[in-house]
Amino acid sequence: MFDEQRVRRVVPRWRSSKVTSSTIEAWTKPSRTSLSFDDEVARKLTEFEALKSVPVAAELMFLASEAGNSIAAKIAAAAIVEKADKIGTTQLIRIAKRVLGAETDEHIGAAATDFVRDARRLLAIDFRNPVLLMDVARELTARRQERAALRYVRAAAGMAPESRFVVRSAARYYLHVGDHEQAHHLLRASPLIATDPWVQASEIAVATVRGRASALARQAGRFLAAQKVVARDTTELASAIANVELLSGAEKRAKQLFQKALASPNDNSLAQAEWAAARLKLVVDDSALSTPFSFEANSNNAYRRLEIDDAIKHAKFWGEDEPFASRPFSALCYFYCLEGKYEDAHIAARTAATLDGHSFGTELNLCFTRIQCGELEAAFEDIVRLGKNSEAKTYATHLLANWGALAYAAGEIDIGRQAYQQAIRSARARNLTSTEALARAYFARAATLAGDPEAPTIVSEAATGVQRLPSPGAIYMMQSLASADERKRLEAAASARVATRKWEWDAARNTLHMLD
Amino acid sequence: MQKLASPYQAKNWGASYVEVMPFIQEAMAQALQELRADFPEQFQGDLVSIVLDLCHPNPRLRGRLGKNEHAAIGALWLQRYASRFDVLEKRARVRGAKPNV
Repeated sequence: MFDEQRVRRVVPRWRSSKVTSSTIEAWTKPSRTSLSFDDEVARKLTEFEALKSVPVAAELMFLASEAGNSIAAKIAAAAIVEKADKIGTTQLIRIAKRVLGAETDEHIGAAATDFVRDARRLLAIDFRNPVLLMDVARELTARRQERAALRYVRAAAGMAPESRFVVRSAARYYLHVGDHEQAHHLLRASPLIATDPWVQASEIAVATVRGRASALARQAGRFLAAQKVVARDTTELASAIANVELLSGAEKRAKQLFQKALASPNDNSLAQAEWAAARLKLVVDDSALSTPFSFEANSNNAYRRLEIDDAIKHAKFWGEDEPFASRPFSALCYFYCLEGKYEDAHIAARTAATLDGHSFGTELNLCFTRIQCGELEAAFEDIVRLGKNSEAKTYATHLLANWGALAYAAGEIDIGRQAYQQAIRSARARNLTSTEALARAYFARAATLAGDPEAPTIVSEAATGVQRLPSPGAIYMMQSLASADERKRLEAAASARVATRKWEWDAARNTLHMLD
Repeated sequence: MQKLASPYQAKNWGASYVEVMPFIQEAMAQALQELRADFPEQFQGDLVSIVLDLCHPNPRLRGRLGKNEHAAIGALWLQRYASRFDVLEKRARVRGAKPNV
């Protein structure tokens, strides 16, 4: 089960500090006062000429390097290297050699084999290291040790309430463990909330997770609506407000804000726009999709274009980017199922179930992949167990569809057909359009594979049905089952849903006339 | 500073020092970890803690070496460090004089 219509929000990403430092989130508006070390370098150079000691040379080397004065830096480095015999093989000598270009700029020290163990070594030097504490918490969360991570998150958030990275990462942790209130409180209590658009975007997103209206959304929305172009540091904010507008039904305002966010997107604002693209007919073009780390957006976009291999490739990267989140693995499981690669789907489903604590939805996925892998006994037990669960009514359509798949796999054709038909009726009664489309497509596939004598009728009905329902996945599945004519109609239905840029040829011609 | 990612370096950072301080603390810990290897093994802990204490990125935590880690009189009351080095020097001499058994 993969709910294509599940609401997505611009909750902050939680990446390692190293990766975050390579994103636009790490940047600030440049300072108005220009920094110049020239006077200090000149003073230190005079001091060095008077006293050519190693400490003075070291100070000059570091200062001049920072100031970009490579000549002074090399003079000092040469003086240090000259005394290498007396100093020994120390870090200082290695750096001096690097300044002179005699040693490569490779990172000194072996690559981390166990991140947590190595980080604890650094924390033993100084535990007041909020960035590293958050990195350890992330690693522990990815290893499903959320409780152990909590100590690190609390300590980091307490030490650095004025760090964008720490506050947003900690908020994401609390969202992940289901403590939405604490996530919201942390963001609202940060001194950055009044000025920082990244923290504001997170606050607005977390408020919608809690079903609350953020006081910031209206104010910031008015500000952004008045801007012709939004700066790159407000792209997430524009996207978060666009989402609030979309959820409240103001689609026109939502579309305008998403378009502004797409002018210079980051991966999160892009993923949000991509999520809303089909509904708002937003154009998400190749230049936007080349945004670094936009694995989620690329996966979703490839899926909408029915390029499932690409969707799988990007979903794998997305899973590596957010190893603590179940969503990429649920998506991966879904894509593998569309392709009929059930062994891979089973592995992805198991990972997703482990990561989100075996929720009902991920358990249903796991059960479905078990059926397709031939583990019928275990799947039967799963369905009986899930059927007794208090959430079973909410997921009745999926449960019935799983029951149908199991019956077909066991050769009980009549029971399978009836269960799938019941699942389709259930989806329609609940107005779950995407789920209905998928139930129809899986029904057609299962009936065909099981040799149901009514399969041709089922396939024909499904092929017609999925064209009016909003599921690219269902169309993709039906393409392999339907006749050639039907396949063309399905392809046309799918491509009509992906908005593409329309060139203004008249405008171009007019410009050329003016040149004449 | 080489340990600090580009956005957090002085020439690029445009916000307050307190906002960038966590990243400087992280870079400092990495630099100290590398520096640690340059010290004799038996004094690594003491020497690294002295360096950290004298150069802590957080000005409020700088110059706090002492039994209770209370701030010394004046930001850098160096007498404490002179005493500490004296102790280390004596310890080194005693260890150096210790006969090999």
